Amino acid sequence: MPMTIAPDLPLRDPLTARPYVVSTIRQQTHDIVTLDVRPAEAPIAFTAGQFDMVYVYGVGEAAISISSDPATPELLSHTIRAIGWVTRALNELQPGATIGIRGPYGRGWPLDDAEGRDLVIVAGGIGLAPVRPAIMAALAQRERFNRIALLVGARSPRDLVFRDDLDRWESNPAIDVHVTVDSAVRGWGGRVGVVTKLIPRVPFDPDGATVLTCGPEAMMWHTADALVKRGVDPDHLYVTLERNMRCALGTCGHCQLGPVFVCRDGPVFAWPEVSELLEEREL
Amino acid sequence: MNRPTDPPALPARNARALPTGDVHAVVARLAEHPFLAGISREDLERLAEGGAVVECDADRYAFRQGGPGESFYLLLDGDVDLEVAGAGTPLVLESLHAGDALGWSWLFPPHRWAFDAHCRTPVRAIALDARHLRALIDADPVLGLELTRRVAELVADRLRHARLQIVSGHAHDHRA
Ligand SMILES: Cc1cc2nc3c(=O)[nH]c(=O)nc-3n(C[C@H](O)[C@H](O)[C@H](O)COP(=O)(O)OP(=O)(O)OC[C@H]3O[C@@H](n4cnc5c(N)ncnc54)[C@H](O)[C@@H]3O)c2cc1C
Ligand code: FES
Repeated sequence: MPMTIAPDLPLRDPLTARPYVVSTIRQQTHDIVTLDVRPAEAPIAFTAGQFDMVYVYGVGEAAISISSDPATPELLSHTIRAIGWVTRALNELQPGATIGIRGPYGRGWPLDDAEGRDLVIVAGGIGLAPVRPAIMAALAQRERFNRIALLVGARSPRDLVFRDDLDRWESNPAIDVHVTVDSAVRGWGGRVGVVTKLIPRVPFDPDGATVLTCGPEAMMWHTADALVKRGVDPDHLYVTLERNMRCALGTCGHCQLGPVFVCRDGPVFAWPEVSELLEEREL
Repeated sequence: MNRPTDPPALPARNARALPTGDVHAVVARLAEHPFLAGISREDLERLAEGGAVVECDADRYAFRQGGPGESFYLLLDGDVDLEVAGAGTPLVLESLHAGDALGWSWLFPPHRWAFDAHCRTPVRAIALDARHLRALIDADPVLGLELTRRVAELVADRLRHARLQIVSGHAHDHRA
């Protein structure tokens, strides 16, 4: 068991990035990679759903969710879509490169809430990355939950991430996996339709289900609607939000959404905590 | 798909009717189909008139874009892809599976299908006679409203899904 440092060790400067070395790069789609990195110093424990501020020296930093298994903090993964300066630079790194990471930050997925209940996970596109650690953690403690169901949607088959994991989980009786894509050319062979279409069909007990959702905001809205329609209690429905971040410490206010700071109070929220805030366009 | 009495929507080689026994076999299937959950036995019997259990072979079309909407299909087994044909391989917009209802063009003029329905696997479905259903909707406002409401839900669902497809795609393009 490697030695780990508790995330809130008081002596560590929370704004200083620690060096990590890129060990493996996995191309997920044409614009998404997963970087596996190893710490140059002692690894830091994290919980499923937390994020890091990932720093490319000379370019800048971006908030990126941790997409690896919390049981192995000595090998940390981040899954990144190239959309701006930092994420493009991260997509262009080569094995052996050194990056800076500070974190982990934020409130993760409430797996304890799902104890003794059905655990349903709904992911859209790259949204599978932030829930992947929760899936791994749940499978490692399988006896704590009743059913575990994973509903995955992507824009097209080529936009599906973590296909190796999906294949592995699909053949694992401990988890019930359903994959769909928004559209596909004939021959794909799987389901076609938005991920919310799966919600009325997948076997789980809506009264006794805890649901974790991650994807584009519009997808989370529709997912929440479909889940509530099925009878899921919104108090047991959780979403993860993205807002522009700077300090990630709850001090600068960049990530503010009404009264909440996404970096400090989230990024995972119970649906009733944020649904009205998200309706207010100016927030 | 083909029914025993009506002219088939497609050449008969693309689909074949099962020997259905009688209307009771259709009613029994209708009673189990989620689309008609909660409809009384008596109303199911009225809906089933002229209906049949039909089959479509894999890699055949149940109906083609522009073809007449003569039947309302309720899927029992198998997978059907709603496709648009283009220059290359057809694009699948939605896949439908056991428990799904296939299309609503039979209800609204000009009663022509908007997409191709391609059977990805062997498919079994209940085919209800569209002309009979439309007459029933006109003649019985209570059953007519209930049926129309259920079809409207299908349409609303499809619209919601299409919007979600658009905004997800837009979010993706915007970020990409
Ligand atoms: C908690 C959290 C977790 C996250 N997890 C992940 C993850 O796992 N993977 C991942 O890929 N991303 C993740 N993100 C998103 C990522 O942090 C942001 O997309 C980040 O901004 C990328 O930085 P960048 O420098 O590459 O792009 P930026 O330069 O910040 O640009 C990002 C996008 O915003 C647009 N933009 C930038 N500035 C403006 C402006 N002023 N007005 C309008 N549009 C603007 C750009 O055109 C571009 O489309 C997460 C965000 C949060 C908050
Ligand atoms: S990023 Fe500074 S308060 Fe959240």
